[in-house]
Amino acid sequence: MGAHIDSCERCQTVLDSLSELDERVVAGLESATSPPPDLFERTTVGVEERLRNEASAGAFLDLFTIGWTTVHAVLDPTPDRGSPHDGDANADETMGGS
Amino acid sequence: MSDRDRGVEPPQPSEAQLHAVVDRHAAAVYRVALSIVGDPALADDVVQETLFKAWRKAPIDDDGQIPRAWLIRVARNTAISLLRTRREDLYSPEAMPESGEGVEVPRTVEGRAQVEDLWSAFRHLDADARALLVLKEVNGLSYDEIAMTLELPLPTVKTRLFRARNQLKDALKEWR
Repeated sequence: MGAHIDSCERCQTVLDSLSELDERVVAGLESATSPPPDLFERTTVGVEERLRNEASAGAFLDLFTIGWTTVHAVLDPTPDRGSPHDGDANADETMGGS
Repeated sequence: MSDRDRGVEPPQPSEAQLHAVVDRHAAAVYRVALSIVGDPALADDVVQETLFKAWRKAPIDDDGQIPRAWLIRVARNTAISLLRTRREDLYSPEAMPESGEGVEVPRTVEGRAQVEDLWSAFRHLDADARALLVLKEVNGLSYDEIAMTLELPLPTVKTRLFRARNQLKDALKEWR
């Protein structure tokens, strides 16, 4: 029977009308799940705080990254491997070696 | 193509924009969250988490709004995930809210007892059944909207809701 109901729209409609909840039950559900009066305020404050914290964490990470990049650039004795000149030289070597 | 689609960080919301999103969706999200986690404090956490995620990565529909189905689905998944990690007893009926959005909570002992009976019966349904009942009976979603929200076939939504209603009715026979 369950399988039939799953596939029969007419039976589903009949069952739906038969199983309608008493309005007191619906009202009770509304009461039992009703949001607290300060939900709006608490939610906006909470979300704004999380967004601010996220922005602060991002800024801190940026500062750390800048510091690290600077220290690395000063202390690293190897030439900048990303320059166009080096790229050309490597390409020449590769071509010459083949 | 939006900034989100391009992987660009969206701008911080203005206070007014954030308020509009919370105003439009927080209550519905709270009801679904509470129906699953059963605890007002946890439901609060779910609302905040859901709306935070919404601001960060929700799709925007043609009307420039965050789709309700997307929000409810995120709220449901967040609530279930939270429940798995912080499994606690469902809150007692004494902790039920004193008042809601225009809904008069019974003030009489008898009325209060009935709502407590209802909550007791409700909490014994499984989480999906509770969410289904709240989506249909309280949030007023259509069957199609529920099917889309929960990513379930339409017949499954109807039969599950039928069973959930009957389970609730059986548990509340003394109301009749």
